[in-house]
Amino acid sequence: MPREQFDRKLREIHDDVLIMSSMVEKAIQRAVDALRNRDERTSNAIISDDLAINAKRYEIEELCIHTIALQAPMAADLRNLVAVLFIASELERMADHAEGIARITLMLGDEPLPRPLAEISEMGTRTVDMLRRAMTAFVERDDQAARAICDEDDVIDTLYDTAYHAIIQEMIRNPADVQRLTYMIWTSHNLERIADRVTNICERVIFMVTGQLEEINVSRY
Amino acid sequence: MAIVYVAVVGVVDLIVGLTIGHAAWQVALAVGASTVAVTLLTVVLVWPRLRQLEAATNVARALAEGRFDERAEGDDPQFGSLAAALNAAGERLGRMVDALRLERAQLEALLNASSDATVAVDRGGAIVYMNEAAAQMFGAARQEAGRAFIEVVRDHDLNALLAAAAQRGERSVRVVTYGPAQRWLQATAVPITGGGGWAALAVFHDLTEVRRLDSVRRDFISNVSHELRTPLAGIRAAAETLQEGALREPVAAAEFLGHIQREADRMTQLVEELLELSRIESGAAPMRFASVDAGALVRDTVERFTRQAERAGIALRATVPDAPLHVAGDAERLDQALGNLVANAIKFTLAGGEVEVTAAGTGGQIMLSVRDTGIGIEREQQGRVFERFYKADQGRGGGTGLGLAIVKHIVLAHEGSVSVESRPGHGSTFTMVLPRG
Repeated sequence: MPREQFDRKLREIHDDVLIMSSMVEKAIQRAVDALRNRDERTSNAIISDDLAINAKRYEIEELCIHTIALQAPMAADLRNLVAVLFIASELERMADHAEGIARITLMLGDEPLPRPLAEISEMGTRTVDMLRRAMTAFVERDDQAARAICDEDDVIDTLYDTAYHAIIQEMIRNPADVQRLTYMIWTSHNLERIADRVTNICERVIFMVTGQLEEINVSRY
Repeated sequence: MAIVYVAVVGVVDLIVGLTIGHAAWQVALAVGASTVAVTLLTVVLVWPRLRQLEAATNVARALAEGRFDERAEGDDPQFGSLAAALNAAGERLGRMVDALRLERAQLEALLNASSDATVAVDRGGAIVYMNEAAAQMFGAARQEAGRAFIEVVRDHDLNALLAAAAQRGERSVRVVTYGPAQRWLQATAVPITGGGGWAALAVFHDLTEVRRLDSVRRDFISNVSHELRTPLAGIRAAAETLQEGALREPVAAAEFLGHIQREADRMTQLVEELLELSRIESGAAPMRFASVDAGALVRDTVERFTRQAERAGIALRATVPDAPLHVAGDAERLDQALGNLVANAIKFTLAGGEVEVTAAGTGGQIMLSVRDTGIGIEREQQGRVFERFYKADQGRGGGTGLGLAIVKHIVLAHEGSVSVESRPGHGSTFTMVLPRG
């Protein structure tokens, strides 16, 4: 199959992955915003939009498998498609975590947040930014940038630690709030997992560029 | 003529030669002479024409290459008219291209003058044009032509609009949020038919500010109504209780009347603060500017709030330099602004915490800060606390929500600025920067 045709297919697949990552970025950002603003409507929308994200993942997977089967790519081209397969799957799981946060907002209902979001807000902003830059590294085949993003996961882990301990302290002070405070721990855990999956994407970018499969940053959780 | 003469002589010579019998060498001589004669004749007659043809070819080539200023010269009756025709074509094409270039520059200027972002894409979703506003809005370089739209804007909602227009010919208008700053964009996408490589065009109009103002207006009306309704409900309930018999029981009657009075006071305070805010904001309340000692201002304010802080179990202290720090301002208004900040700091700090009021000066500016170790303000709320009725912590305090708005407008009337730095759970610092007096 001519090279041009393969390149065109690859571009199409890349565009689809970027569309999917934008869907996931928005889902994470909107999930944290909806929790802060106690916005049930947005939370419900995030839950129903997750179906579209899942569908996009299968669409990308099918495109990749189709291209691999028909064009039998080698070396860098094959790594590229394999990386896309992994990235799509990671993105899909991230969206599930965002959906988890939306469900927490629904569970909290009209009750006020037991404490300000504080670190959780910060975790949300940072993970969305990390994901966006990880996808830029993917498009630009920039393994250095991917490595740098992996290092940032430590900041997220520290924020998670701080939030976790602060929430436990709050539980001790106000045992009546334990249930709602547990939801806050779940939220921060969801965000910590999302950041960890961003590092997985970065590892795939490094693999795609260098051909080396390495674990860059082992999360503490 | 000389050549013709030589040729004629040659031929005559040949005839004469033949007749007198020196055949061989004379034939050779004659042929040679004829060849030279013909060649010379050709050079003299054809060369200038060839040169004119070459000049015409050069002009044609220049036209093909897009250079319209090349001209050919020619006086030959045939080639001269070709040169003239090519020259005319060159001139006309040059004028047309100049006109098109001008038109393009004007259109480009029009598109760039617009604050709306404009992007055109081809059928495959690659950018074929973007104006300056678009480059700015999407944080892209203008040389993004050729890159996929999704790669540059990284937003699937915007991409879907353009893709629907480019691939399915759908025209649509939608309001979507864009980017980490969640800007509100009204996106209009239209398909283009007969636009060459342009398959669809989208215009993005930033509605963020309009929506913000609209939300401020709606919040304002809803807040004023809410703040007035609460005391009104209290007054009404007390009045009804009085009507239903409490009036005949002096002790109860006095209590309900007291309640009515307190609620009326609350409404009066709200209305007065609103009027005050409106007066400061519109400049209707004249500022009585004088040289005010910021140190004395801080000390007086701290003294005024000492008892209140003690009751709340908060350590309140003033940190001021020994030398006087003069601010150009209205002493009464500045006292009101600083008082509002200290009252807030006490309200939002738990027992055992501290509040420090500081005056300091650098260059032409005086800084008045109020630092507390209170509950702090979330980052998202920090920008909004100076808005009327905005309450970062809805559950705490029974304030009108106008205190910080008043502070902001007093400081603005002094051509100063006020800002907040805060870490949730650790405390906040409000700083007023005022011109030195």
